[in-house]
Amino acid sequence: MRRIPRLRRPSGLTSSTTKLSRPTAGPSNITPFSSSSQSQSQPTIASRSASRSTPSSSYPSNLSRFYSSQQTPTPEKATPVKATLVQEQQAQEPENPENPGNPENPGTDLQFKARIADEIEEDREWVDVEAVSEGPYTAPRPRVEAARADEVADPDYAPASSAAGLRTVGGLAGWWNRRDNWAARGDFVGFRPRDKVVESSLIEAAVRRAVIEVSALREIGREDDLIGVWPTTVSNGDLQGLLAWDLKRAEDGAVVLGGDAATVAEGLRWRDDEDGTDDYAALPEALTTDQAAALSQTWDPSWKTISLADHRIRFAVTKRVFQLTGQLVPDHQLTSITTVQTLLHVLKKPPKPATLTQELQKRHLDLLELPNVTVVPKRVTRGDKEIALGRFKLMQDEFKKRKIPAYGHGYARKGKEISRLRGGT
Amino acid sequence: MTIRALEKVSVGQNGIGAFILQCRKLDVHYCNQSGSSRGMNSFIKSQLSKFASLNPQIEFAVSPRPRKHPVLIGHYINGKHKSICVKNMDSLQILKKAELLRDASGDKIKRVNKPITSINESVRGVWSPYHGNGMAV
Amino acid sequence: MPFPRIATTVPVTVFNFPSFEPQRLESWSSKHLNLPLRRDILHLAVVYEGDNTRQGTASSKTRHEVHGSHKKMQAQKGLGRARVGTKQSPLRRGGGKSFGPKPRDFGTKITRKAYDLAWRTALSYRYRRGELLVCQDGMELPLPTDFEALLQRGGLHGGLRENGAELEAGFRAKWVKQVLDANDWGRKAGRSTFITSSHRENLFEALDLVPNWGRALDVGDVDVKDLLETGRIVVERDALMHMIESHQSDLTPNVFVTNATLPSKAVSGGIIVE
Repeated sequence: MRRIPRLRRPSGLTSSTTKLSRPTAGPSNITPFSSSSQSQSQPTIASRSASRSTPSSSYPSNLSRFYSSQQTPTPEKATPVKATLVQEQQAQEPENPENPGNPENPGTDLQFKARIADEIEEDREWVDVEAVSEGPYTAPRPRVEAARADEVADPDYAPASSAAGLRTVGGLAGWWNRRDNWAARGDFVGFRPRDKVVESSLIEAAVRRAVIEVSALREIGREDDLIGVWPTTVSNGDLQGLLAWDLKRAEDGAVVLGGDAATVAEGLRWRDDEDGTDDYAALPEALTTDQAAALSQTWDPSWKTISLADHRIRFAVTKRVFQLTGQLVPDHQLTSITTVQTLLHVLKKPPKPATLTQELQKRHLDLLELPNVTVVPKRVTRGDKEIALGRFKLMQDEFKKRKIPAYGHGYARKGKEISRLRGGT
Repeated sequence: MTIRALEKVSVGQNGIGAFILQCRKLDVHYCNQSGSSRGMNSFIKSQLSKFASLNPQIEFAVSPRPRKHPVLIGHYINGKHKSICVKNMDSLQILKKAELLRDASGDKIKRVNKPITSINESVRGVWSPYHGNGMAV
Repeated sequence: MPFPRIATTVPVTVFNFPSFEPQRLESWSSKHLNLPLRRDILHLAVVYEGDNTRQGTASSKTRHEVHGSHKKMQAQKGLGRARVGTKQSPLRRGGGKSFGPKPRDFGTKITRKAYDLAWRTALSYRYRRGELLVCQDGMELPLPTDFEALLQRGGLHGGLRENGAELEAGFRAKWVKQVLDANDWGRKAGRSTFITSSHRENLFEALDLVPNWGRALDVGDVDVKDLLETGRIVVERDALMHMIESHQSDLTPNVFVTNATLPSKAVSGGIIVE
């Protein structure tokens, strides 16, 4: 069995380094480009989809809801819902083999649509063709030509005259969106974490960690590694211990580390662990805001005056901070970063609000609180008035009675006739 | 001149007993991206809150209208509405347009040819040959 | 009183593609990447490009080109109706268009130095906003080895499968979307333009499938307008060097300068941190 390396490297790591003098890991360390999985903070699929929804995405309370469309589920939230839906249906299917298909009209029922699109029944008793899979990716089974009705060996066989009771076979639309066919470990892993860290205390903690690591390497003398890529997995306890070091700036500008530089430097080497007891599930917890805030009380303020004027030091620190937090310092601001204080200032600055609504929420709350003013974040469309007045509920009931889709075109997709007129299929 | 009793029922006029502002709602549409909406965006941020608090009788609805020019739409009690496109205007110019909409009624703009508009008859009365001091011939 | 020092070079981080890992720091001349914003020059260049892109094939028939005989439709006098000549008159239905469009060239000219200045002004604008990302040479989208093995095994096209191309395209699309979203270069972040010095199979093909996530251009196909669209420009270092070198006519003098003490031309690409 192939030994699975424990530390996850970002994809493309091997192609990033150009110097030969870098401590190159052995071939067993180099995971193939794709099969490295997600870095520290999202060990399972469920937690990934949960962690993607940040607090700011929930509908803000001081903005009006009427005359605006209701909050629609984001695509990231929709796929786990769909996945569970398919799983439920697949669980129901073996219990209900006599399911004659959806008795209700197709097109109105979203569940039915999902079933048509997603159900590729790979019943192993039905056809014995092997699944073609390579690593985390599974291709559809190869097609098999069925025997003609008069050539079937079984004398009791009679071809079906209607679809009742047959397995439904759908298209391959959305094949790669199913988790069975594209495992989580097949996802792309980049250098930076998936979600940007925006909490200022966490940013400060990341900067401090970077400064300690860079200073440790400098003390040891491993200058070459300043440009390399360092692993990010370290346990929460170790991290807190590291951050609690008494980092100071001496009178002459030298950095005084409060701990042992050698252990830190060793921790920055890529390593392949032999023990198989540790698996992917044992990922370290990320530092929480409270822990970071508590630690920041213990820090000596002179650490913020540590100079970052040296190009290599600054490059290494900003690179490490980018790796830990996802915050990139724009190139044109690099020359103005001379100390840790300026770096923190640049990183902590919140981005400009993208929309007017966000800016109003931030800086002009008096407008939102006026009783005669309604601010709506989305465009008011023709259906919003009906929804706000409550007429749409009645309309939906009537549509259902007449078997007309409430939203969109349903099964009668737009433009079919036009393409046929133009010579299409 | 004859003295005639005025046979009149009191006619209500807006402003005599009570005043009802004809503009009941003002739609404010802006765009986040387009350059023509920059003045409107700054109007919403700087001028609108004061204007809205000075006119509590008007309902203000601020909503984005992406990829379109910014527009102010006034809705009136007689059911009509008036829209003014405020593309490329400064925020103070837009404030003036908002005041224009507030001060308007929903009626179509009529040409006024006479200097005086009144529901009352003339104060001095219409000339009659049978009354007065007569004319010396 | 000493002059306030203005930096003559600006730092540029070169990243690894697609992992977005900072590889090295280079110093580029501020005359290349830190020019002040001149909107009027950008306007000139964009309008010039737009004019030259016009097809100019709108055409209409004048009264002389509309088909028909040129007989006088009715007598000049005596009918009580307005006088009429031929039936191709522009006043008549079915007649010619008086001053309609004709195919013509809408191209305009601009001085080479102004255009080059506009080019570098666009790059400087992007640089200052942090929307210019320079990646290492040979910027090609690597596909997972497992996927390539699957292709070789015939997993997607094998059997009686007709839609193997769709499956492959679906995979590439999903992969490139993941790569772009991981780096915040995709749809949510306002799309990206990838500029390479030559055609890159995988990258160009994959981005063709997901136009809402980004687009890829060969350096020869880039315009000033392209540099100003989308959320960011991800450019290969080679391609950026090529662009700068071919658009610095206003910096390089055509005369041979023997005096070494005079300031030399703008130098870019020197490595600060490797």
